[in-house]
Amino acid sequence: MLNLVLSTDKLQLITSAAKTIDVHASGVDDLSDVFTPWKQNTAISTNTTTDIVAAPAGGAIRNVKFISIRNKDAASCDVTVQYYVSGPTLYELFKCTLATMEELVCREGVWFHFDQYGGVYSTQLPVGSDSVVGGVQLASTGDLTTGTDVTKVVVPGRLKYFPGFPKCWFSCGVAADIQQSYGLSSLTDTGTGEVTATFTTAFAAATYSAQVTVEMTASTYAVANARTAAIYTSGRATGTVHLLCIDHTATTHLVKDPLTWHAVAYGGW
Amino acid sequence: MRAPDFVSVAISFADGSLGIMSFVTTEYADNGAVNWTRQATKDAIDAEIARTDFAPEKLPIKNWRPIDPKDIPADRTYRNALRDNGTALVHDLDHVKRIALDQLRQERAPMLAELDWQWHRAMGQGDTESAAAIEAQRQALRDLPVTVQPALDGAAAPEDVTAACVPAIAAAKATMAKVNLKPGSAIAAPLKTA
Repeated sequence: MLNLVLSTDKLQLITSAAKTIDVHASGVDDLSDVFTPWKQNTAISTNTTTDIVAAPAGGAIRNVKFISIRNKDAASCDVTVQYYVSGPTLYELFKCTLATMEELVCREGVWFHFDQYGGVYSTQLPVGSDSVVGGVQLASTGDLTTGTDVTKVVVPGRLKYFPGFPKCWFSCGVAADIQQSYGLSSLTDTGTGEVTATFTTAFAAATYSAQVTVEMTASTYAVANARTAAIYTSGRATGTVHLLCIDHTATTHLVKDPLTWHAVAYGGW
Repeated sequence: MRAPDFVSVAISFADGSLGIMSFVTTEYADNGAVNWTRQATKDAIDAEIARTDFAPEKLPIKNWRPIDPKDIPADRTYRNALRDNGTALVHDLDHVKRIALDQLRQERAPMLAELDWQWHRAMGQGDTESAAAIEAQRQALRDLPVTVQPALDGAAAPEDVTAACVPAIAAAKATMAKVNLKPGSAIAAPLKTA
């Protein structure tokens, strides 16, 4: 409930700039239990202080039931509603910035700030943290790439952008028969003991890190069964990595097939 | 986790070698949901091949075609001799023979090294009889590629090449073991130390 009780009480609106603002106010006056409805429309276009609800007649109580302050302008405007008491003494009731087509409404003494689509701005939660219960924001791709923010939350579809997340991994047999994979666009068996992996998304630079290992060809630990995997010299391009596998025979160290390949690649996109 | 769906593509390189690409068409998440999918169209495969950084010595690419994974030979002994004749993956027999001879030489290398130190030891200990036997074995090993050549010349299939080379190297290994165990030879005794 918002009442003007003295014949000098009134409501004023201060606009910060010369913007087009429409104001409507309506309510009921109570003069010795005689109730009389009233309304007051005001069109504002200057940056000034404007009376938007006039003072009641002497002895009357002016009950303000509804106020609408709408910014019709193409630009935003700061508005302040104040309660004027003779003296003059001023009491600030509500202050906000009305973006274009936004509306400030007082309904039975309760203020609402509507956006241009009719939605009501709600109380803004504090930013949540380890110690504060509050609202959270989704981490953007850039937040994941930077990897330093500790207030935003990660959604599964963006986790891959975090620098520590593998951008590609796979396991496969000797003929590029993929067993499991992630972020792998294709895999090519280019010869005995050689495969070339092509990533779904290319790295930003060919300095990314790739790890590769292979499965021995038999469980007996012998030089004939052991295999060593490697990245081919200059085998890293932004979109592909060329891997090879050699055996452990002392005199030859020949390129040989492993039983299976296992590889993972980390880096920035 | 479900394996990705892929299409096998045979890629023929200018250097004569053959690449077998697994072109991923669908990647799945842990729960089986589709992470991403695409069609194996000509344009898509062309683009994938173009963005794959193959070894420069293989380039350019002569041609490619989709193949049935069942048509890829499981035996990879002569993998590098595989060629695509347009309808099937087949072995280039001359290349197969070169691979077989390379493998024979690779198998022979450690045996020659073993016989070399045995020969030096026998000579060092004045055991000329054993040294002569070892030398005979060494020469047989040196002659091995020539020994198997007639059989290679007559080979009509990779299996024939294997049949020519594998028994020869096995026989050489068996003979070498006998030389090493000659009764009464100084080289069969523990190494003398000062």
